[in-house]
Amino acid sequence: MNKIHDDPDAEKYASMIEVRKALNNLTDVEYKKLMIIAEFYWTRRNLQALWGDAEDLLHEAVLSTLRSDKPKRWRRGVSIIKHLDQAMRNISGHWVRKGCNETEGIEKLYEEKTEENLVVAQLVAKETLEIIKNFFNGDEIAFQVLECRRLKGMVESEVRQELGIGHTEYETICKRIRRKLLKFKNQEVSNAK
Amino acid sequence: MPNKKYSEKQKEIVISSFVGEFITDASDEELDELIQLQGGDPLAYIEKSKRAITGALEQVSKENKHAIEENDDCKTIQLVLGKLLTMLRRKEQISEEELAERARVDVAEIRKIEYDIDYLASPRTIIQLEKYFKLPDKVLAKLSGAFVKHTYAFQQEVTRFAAKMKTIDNLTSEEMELLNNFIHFLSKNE
Repeated sequence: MNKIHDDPDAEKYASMIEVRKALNNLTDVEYKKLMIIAEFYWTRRNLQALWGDAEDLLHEAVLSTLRSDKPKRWRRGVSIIKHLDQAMRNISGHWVRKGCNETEGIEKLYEEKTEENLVVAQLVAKETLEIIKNFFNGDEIAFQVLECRRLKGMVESEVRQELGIGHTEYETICKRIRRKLLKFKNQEVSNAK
Repeated sequence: MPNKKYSEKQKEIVISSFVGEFITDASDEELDELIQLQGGDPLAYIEKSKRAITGALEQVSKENKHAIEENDDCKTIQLVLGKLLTMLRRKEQISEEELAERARVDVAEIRKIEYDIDYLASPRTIIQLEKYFKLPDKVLAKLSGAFVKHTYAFQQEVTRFAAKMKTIDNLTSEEMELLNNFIHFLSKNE
C-alpha cells in the first residue's frame, strides 16, 4: 500500500541519477558557459542589490533541478546547459519580482503561464521581431541569423542555406551577436517596469 | 518599421530569451575572450561554477540522507507494530483468523500488519485491535503511522524493543514482562 510508485514521467524527464551524472561530468567549457549566463541574468536584472552573487543563481538553478519535491525537471532531449539557462532565467525573474532571493512560491514558475511566458506570448511575433531588430540596430544579417534560429527554429546548416552564407561568415556573425549580448548586459539597467 | 516604444522589461525579456543559446555555441577560445573582455578570469569562472554546482549537489545529498534516515525510523516502527501484534496474539494463544473474527477486522489486514512493514493499517482496524486487547488509548496508533513525528526518546525505545523481540510460539515470562513494559511505555508517551 505504501510502495514507491514508478515515475510516470520517466520517459519525458531525466532521473535524478542522470541529473547527477550530467552535473558531475560537466567540462570546464561548460562551467564557463554557465557562469557567463548566470552573470548575464544577475547583472542585467540588477540582482546585485540582493546579497550574494551570480554563483548563487546557478546554485539555486541546480538545487531546483535536483529537488524532487520542487520539480523543475530536466526534460530529455534538452542539453543540461540549456535546461540550467532556462532555470536561471526563471529564478532570476522570480527574484526580481519578489525583491529578494528566496524561492518560496518558486514552483509556480514552472507552471505554463509564468509572467515571462505571458509577456512573450502577449507580444505577437511581429513585435518580438521588432524588438530584436531594434536591438541589432542596422546589423541586418545578424538579425536574420537570429530570426532563423530563434523564431524559425533552424539549425546552423539550415540557416546558412537560407541566408546563403558559409560557415566562417556564420561563426563571425554569431560572435558579433554574443558580444552585443554581453554589451547589453552591462548597459545601464533602467528601473522601468 | 514604425518606431513603437517597448518597455525595458519587454526588451529585456525578449533579448534574454536567446542569450543562453548563443553563449552555448561559443568555442572555448571565444569564451575566454568574452570573459576577459568583461574584466574576468576564465579560471575563476570555472571555479565559481564548480563551487555553485558542487555545493548544490552536497546540499541535496544531505537532505536526502536525512530523509532516508527518517524513512528507516518509520520502517522500524512499522516492524515493531507487526511484531507487537504477533506477541499480543500469541499471549492470547489465538490464530490470526480467530483474532480477526473476535476483533471484527479483516484477517488479510491482520497478516499485512504482522508481516508487511510497508503496510499502513487502517485507523478502524487499529482502534478495533486496541479495544479487543483492552489496551490503553492510542497504544497501537502510535506505531501505526497515524503519528508523523516521534520524539528521539520514543524512537530509541522502539528500537530497543525491536532488538529484544523474538518470534516464538508461546511467550516466556521474560518476554511477557518485555511486552507489558513496552505497552506501559506506549501508553505513557505523548
